[in-house]
Amino acid sequence: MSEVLQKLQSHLDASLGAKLDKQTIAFNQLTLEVLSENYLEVAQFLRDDEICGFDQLSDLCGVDYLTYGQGEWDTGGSSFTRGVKRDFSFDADDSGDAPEFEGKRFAVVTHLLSVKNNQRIRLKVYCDDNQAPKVASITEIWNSANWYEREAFDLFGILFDGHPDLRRILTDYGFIGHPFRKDFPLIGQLEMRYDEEQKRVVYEPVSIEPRVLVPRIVRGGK
Amino acid sequence: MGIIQGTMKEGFVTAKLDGLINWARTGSMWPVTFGLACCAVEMMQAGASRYDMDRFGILFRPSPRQSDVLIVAGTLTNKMAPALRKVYDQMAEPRWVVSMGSCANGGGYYHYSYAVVRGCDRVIPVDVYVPGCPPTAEALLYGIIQLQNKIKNTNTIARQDAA
Repeated sequence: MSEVLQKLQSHLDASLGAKLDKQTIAFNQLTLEVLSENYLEVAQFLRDDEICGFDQLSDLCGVDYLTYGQGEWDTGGSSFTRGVKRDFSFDADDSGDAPEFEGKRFAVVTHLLSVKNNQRIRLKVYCDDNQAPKVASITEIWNSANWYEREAFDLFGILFDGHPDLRRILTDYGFIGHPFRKDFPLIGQLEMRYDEEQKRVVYEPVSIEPRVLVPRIVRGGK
Repeated sequence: MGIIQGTMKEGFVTAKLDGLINWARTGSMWPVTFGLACCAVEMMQAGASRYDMDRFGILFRPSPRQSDVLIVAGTLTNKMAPALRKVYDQMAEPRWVVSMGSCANGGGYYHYSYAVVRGCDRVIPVDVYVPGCPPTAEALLYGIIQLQNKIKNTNTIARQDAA
C-alpha cells in the first residue's frame, strides 16, 4: 500500500510541486495541505489528471481548531468525574466577537475517492480570515460538495465563495450562530415552548445551566 | 365489557350513555403516525403482528384528521416543534397524546442540546408518559392500556366537575 502512496506522492510532487503546502501519510492515506489561493487549482488537477482520477468526493467538512491540543482529558493519575463544567470557558456573548486565536482557526477537509485506482486522498485547506472564514467553493468540480458546503457553512460559519445556494441546511429556521464552533455553548441561546395566548411556538432565552454530561474516566499508570 | 347495566325481555339492554361512549372511544383509538427517531421502530413493532395493536382496535392513520391519539415517538427538535403542534391542532376532538421515550418526555439524552425541545409537553398537552430509551413494544402497549383506563374514568354526560 505504501508503495502506491509513494508513487502518488512523487507524481503530485512533480506535477503540483510548489502549490502543495504539506504532504503527510497517515493511516495509509495521503493528506495534502494547500493554501486557499491554490485550493481550486489543486482540486481541479486531482479530478482531471489521468494518474490521480479522483472523480468522486465522498466527504467535506469543517474543522475548528480553537481548543485544539487543550488537554481537557489529560490527568496525572486516574480520575473520574461526571457533570463538571469544562476547564476552558468562553463568554457566551451577544456581541458575536470571535475569541482571540493565534494562527488559522478554521479548516476545510475534503475526502476524495478514485474509483479507477481504488485510492483515497485527503485534501485540507485552512481559511485565511478567522473573523469571516472563506474558501472557494468546489461545487463546480464535484457536484456532491453542494450540501456538504452548506453543512460546513451552517455548523462552522465557513463561507464558500462561488457556491450557488449557500443557505443553512440543518439547524432551525432563523437560527443564530454556528453550533459546531468551539465557543458556541452546547445549550444554545434560545429554547422554545408553545404559547397558549399567541397560539404559536415562541422562543425564549435558555433557562437551564450548561452541564457536561460525558463521564470522564482516565485510568492512570502504565 | 361491563357496560351493560340490565337486560330485559325482547332483547333490550340498558346501559349508561357514558359507558357506551367510553366503550366506543377506547375500542378504536386510532393513532396518527408520528415517528421521530428510534422510538418509532418500537412503535412499528408494537403495531406489527407480534404485539398487534389491532387487537385493541388500534390502527395507525396517516392523517391527523382521522386520528384520536398522537404518539410522539422520538426526539422533538426545535425545527420539528411547530409541525408537531400543527398536526395536533388538526386532530379532531376528543384527542389524546402519548409521549413515548425519554426524549419526548423531557429531552432525555439531548436535554442539554441547543436544538432539542426539553419535553414535548412544552408544545402539546400530554396524557400518558411512557418511560424508556426506547421503551419496549410492551411498554408502549401498557401505556396505551393506561390511556384506555384514563378514558374510561372520564364522564362526558354525567359531569363530575359539579361535585
